[in-house]
Amino acid sequence: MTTAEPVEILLIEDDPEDLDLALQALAAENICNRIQVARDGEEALDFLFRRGVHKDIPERQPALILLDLKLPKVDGLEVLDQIKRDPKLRFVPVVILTSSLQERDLVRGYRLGVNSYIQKPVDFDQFRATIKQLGYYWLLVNQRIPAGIYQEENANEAASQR
Amino acid sequence: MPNRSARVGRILVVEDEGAVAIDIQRCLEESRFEVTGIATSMEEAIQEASSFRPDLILMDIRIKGKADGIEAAGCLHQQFGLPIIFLTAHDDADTLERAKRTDPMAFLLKPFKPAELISAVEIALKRGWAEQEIRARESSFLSAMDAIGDGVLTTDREGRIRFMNRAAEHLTGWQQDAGLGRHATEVVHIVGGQPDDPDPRSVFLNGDGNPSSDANREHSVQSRDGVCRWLTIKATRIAGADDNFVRVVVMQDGTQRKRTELEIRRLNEELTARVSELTAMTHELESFNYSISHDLRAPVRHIDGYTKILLERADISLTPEVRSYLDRVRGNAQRLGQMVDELLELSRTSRKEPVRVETALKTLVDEVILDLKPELQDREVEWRIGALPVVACDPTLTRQVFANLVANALKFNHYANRAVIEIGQTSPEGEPALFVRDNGVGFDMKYADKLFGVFQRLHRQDEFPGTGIGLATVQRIVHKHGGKIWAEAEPEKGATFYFTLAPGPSPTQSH
Repeated sequence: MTTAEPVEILLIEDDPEDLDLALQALAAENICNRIQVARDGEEALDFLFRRGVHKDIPERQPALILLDLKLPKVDGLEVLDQIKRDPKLRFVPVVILTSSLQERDLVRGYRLGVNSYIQKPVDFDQFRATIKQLGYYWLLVNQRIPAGIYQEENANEAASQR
Repeated sequence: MPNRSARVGRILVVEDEGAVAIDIQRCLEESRFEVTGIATSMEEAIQEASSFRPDLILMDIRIKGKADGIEAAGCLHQQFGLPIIFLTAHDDADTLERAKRTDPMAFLLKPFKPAELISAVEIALKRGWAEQEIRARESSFLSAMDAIGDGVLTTDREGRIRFMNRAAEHLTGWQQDAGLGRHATEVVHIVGGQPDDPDPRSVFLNGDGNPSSDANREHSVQSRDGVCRWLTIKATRIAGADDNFVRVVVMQDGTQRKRTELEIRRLNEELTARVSELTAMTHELESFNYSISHDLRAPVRHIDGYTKILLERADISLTPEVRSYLDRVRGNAQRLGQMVDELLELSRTSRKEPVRVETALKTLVDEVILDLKPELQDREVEWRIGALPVVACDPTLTRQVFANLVANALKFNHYANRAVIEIGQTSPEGEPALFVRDNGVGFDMKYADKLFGVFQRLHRQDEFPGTGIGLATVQRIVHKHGGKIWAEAEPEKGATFYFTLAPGPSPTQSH
């Protein structure tokens, strides 16, 4: 599902029905039509770090990452850890969107630097409202660092550390 | 011991020739010795000796009766431990040899001069008294040794036993008579020691160096009669004359202590095993919970999601009946979701140990009510909040107790009714308890035992929907705090839930 167009949201979700409902919710709220889907942690990392099937795509960070926790191969917290360790990717807001609400996961998620943690509501109306708020807030209300500044900032930071 | 110089030597003379006997008596008495009697035969001598207890016996070798002086001397020496001086005239070498074996103090050859007699008597008395004193000391030493509870034995430089006290006899099962002269390792039969001890028997060689450096070591020792004991054995070398040192070996019976120690260790191991078993179970339970919360919630969400999508499809027309069915599907999905969430909440509170902090319950209750406000909307509720104490409790868990009880109080009330909810502290049974009271539908007290069971409900789903988990959670939290919970109610006359947050008399500090 590689798109040539810049990706706005990276949706990392393994459950096909969850994925379908999330996409329907995003579509219904007309939030964004540029969505990249990763079906497991490894695929997500391949996309983000331009490896494997994604090795030829141009470098461009998504505006928002929606991350499920219980994922095959590489689990969600590991994906989060790698994102937040990367000098460029760490500026991308990551929202954990999960079925479970385990204190352990909450603590670990925030410790690794997640920007938000949301438990998927059972009520589909609420789920849709949540998705709407999410997209609205992170894509429209929140101010992001423009792509070009990443390199500059990182260079400055590296210089000041030296 | 009386003063030696003042002590008068008391002497028994055994002589069958009356004239000689009288000569001797006179001679002795002139030198201020006391003659306790004159005997002419062994029988008389024994009788005299036992009646008057002389210090010394002057014994003629030829006396009356069947037994001669040598036999009599042997008998008296053995029976009374008396020193003997033989008086002899012209005896053959064999007789003299026989006499020597009775260990006499001296031989006096007849005829002897008075001065010879006196000097022999003086020397014999001195020696006799000295030996007596040594024997007395030894016997008091031995009784002291026997009074000691620890086993004491001494060995010579080769390790052969020279002395054992009574406790040592008891611990080893060897009587001193049998044990003397045997090697210590034979009498003290070590069958096991500390695992790091290469040769436990080397304990009997300890003390060759610095005695204070000897570690007290425990050994398993089997006695001659087959009893195994744990003995702490310590050997100390004591210098003797020349190179003839002795070792004193002290053995302390630590069997009881050792048994207790082993029992404690066994119990500890058992406990550790149980703890790790429990930890494993808790771990299993946690992953079970995790799976439930994740895997069970997902399909429920999907049911609700797709039903909603179906309801919204513009391209199919749904009859009101079909719509109502689909609404019921959604209603049930949401109820299932709520049950899963509440069950998880219950298991979470079960696993959580309360962390007690001084908590102002008033603040807690205010927060609970504030949180409920949006749900109440236009509903009319009268809150009567009484004086609430500051209590050492887990604030998060206690908040949950109030939240669930207040939510119940609101729920089990007719919507049209003006709800009156009272929260405070009272002492219904002498000890203070917190309470939440409502004027709702109440319940029949005959079902009171079902109140706190999981999934137990006293009302029909269509009257008051619910999962039957809320009060179970409340009860668990209260029990975790060591408190108790109970309720009083009457149908249509409201219900009151009482609870305490500590064992025994609980909240006392009133605010």
